[in-house]
Amino acid sequence: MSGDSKFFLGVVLAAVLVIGGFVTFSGKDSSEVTLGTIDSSSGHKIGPDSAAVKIVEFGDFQCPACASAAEGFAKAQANNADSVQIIFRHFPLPNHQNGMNSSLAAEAAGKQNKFWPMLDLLYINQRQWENLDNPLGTFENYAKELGMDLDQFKKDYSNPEVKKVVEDDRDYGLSLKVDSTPTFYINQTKYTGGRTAEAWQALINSIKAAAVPAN
Amino acid sequence: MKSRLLVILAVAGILVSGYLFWKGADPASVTCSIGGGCETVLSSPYAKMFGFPVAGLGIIWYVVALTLVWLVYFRRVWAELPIQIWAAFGLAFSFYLLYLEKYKIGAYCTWCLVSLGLVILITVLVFAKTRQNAK
Repeated sequence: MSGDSKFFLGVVLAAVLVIGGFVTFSGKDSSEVTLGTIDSSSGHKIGPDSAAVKIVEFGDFQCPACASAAEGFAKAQANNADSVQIIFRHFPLPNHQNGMNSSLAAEAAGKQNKFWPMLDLLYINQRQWENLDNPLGTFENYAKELGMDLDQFKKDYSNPEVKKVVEDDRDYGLSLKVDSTPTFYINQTKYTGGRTAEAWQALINSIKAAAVPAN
Repeated sequence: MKSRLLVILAVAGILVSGYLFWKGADPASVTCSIGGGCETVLSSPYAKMFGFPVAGLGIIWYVVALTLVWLVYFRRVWAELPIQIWAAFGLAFSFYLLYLEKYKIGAYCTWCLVSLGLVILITVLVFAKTRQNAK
């Protein structure tokens, strides 16, 4: 075999070893423990306050990863309606031009008890409004679809107090060093990225099992 | 020298696109992050083309490029034309991906840019005239 051929095969073999080593030794655990307790008292909630498992989500309605994570997450909550509470906190990313606007729309909808249906509409129709210079008209259509008082919705959308709620959520996330969405906190443990309903179920089961005091 | 450099570049490309493929397949890393970055690019709708991950297409491109390097420069089965066509195609596609990052996704992924750099170097090399043709 010529020197050139040896070199070629040597480099390819080295690459195969690198890939093999990486696949063998890379951990896929995305959880990370945070110091201090996570405030689960404020934010929009689904599920009873007495729930054993409280999941705080930091989300951005313009984030495709949040949109795709939403379905599995909602299903997992519905399957554990008595034992799981979801708390949503806004985390509009600065690189998403309508991240803040969509949070304002959801928060304004929340004033009329339509936060969760608005969340669904925002995620489902994300591509309709993500690149709009002024998405308010589109958000108004969603508000209309949900049977909301439109004048009130528009007032709330531009209300500085509503904006402050969103900013406070975001600042709280920043103080926890949240840097991506979706980020979930269960007790003090941080998880990022979406999961299937089945993966959520497994995680919820393990948390419930750990919460039961050992005899 | 040129042939050895091409091998190193193509293998580096396989490693980079392999890493992006692995990262895109890990649900925990499908997130949007502050300032964009690879997570944002990989979780965007543009991370898949025809239902297939773009990073996977990258792996295929580099593997074919490596095979062509072997056939053209080591085995001398063909002249340089096939690898030049393949490189030009890869370069055009990489610039299209850069366009998507800038105008459609609004975020850049460092490893995707590294891959663009590798494709540029490979293209420059396969089009560069070798001083001693026989060697």
